[in-house]
Amino acid sequence: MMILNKIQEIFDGIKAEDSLKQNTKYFLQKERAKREKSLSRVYKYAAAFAVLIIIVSGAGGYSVLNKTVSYISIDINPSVELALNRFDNVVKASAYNDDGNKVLKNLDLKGKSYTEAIDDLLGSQEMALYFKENNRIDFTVVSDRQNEIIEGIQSCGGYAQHNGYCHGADGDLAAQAHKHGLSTGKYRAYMELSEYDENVTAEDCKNMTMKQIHDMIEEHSEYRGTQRAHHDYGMNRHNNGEGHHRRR
Amino acid sequence: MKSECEVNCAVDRYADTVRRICLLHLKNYSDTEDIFQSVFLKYMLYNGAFRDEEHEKAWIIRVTINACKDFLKSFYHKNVVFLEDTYDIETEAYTIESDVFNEVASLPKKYKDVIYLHYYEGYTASEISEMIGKKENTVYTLLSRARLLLKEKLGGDDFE
Repeated sequence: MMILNKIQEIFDGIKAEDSLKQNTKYFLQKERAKREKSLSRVYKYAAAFAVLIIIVSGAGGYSVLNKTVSYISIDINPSVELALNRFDNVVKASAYNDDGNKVLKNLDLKGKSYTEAIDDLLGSQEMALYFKENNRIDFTVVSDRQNEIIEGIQSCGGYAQHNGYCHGADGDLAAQAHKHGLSTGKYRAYMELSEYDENVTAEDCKNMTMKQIHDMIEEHSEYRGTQRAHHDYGMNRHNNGEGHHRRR
Repeated sequence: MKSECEVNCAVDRYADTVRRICLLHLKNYSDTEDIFQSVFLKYMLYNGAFRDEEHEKAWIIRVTINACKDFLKSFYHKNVVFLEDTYDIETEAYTIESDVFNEVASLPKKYKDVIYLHYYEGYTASEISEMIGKKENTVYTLLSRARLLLKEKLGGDDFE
């Protein structure tokens, strides 16, 4: 017989034992169960991890969205302060006097960009009452990006239309202002006035219009016959860009 | 991971093929069991698709040959002495009473694979070269040398 035939005959006769097949199937069944169990454990951990990530990022995102990083104090007589988050959206609008409360009563500024909020505020019917008296409007910005925000305010339609002034201030001045129950802008004006008049108090200024405070500063300034520049309390002064210069 | 049904079918379909390759390379039954488990576990976990049954069979053969080679090279195999080996206990279900089989099985590893693949499974040199990762010319050379060795040992019977 040829070798080829013998090889074929011999190998044809070799069969896997049934026990070998059964043991192999049993082994594979156990391996499958083990892997599916560990896989389901992995899925369980993955799901728990995903939930944790969602909670952490959700909490983180929420805190980023609601954390105040800048303030814009808007003062005529109504004293209002807008707290802004990192994205320059309003997270809180606070009134610092009765007139401020009246103005904010019918306005929902939360979540709006500060330029949109300022336009809404200055365009509101309640605010219109205060513009009739030839009042001035002071914007005081407390922010790491002061110049950028001031430019944004100066681009608002209401700022150009009314008698607007922009100032910068630091966080310490804002903290002091809030401690005295005043908006940052009004407290800044009070500090300026107190340079001339030691008897004036923060409480006195609370219900005075910004025009009244600045008129008094001007009177004192003229009375002293001095041309010295006003102090800026932890701040920069920014005249508006529409020819509205600060009057002394 | 392949379904239980797919895996069981593959065990039934290819168990004989795997058994033949194991018999050529391994001496005892427990090693054969290990190779069976290793080969079909790989099959169960294999995520690739097979073109057809021939492709699937070639995959099984390649994996089995590699598993046998890996096992024979392993530290475990080289350093553990089995009781069966020591006391010459016959654990194989098969006692092959054939000079031809014994001579094929006693050929160097590189020859017995090509002899089995070509003369039993009917693969061409080109197909074998893909399966064992060697050049086609090398496969021809291996086949030619293997034939010569068998002729010498088995007394000049012809292959053709």
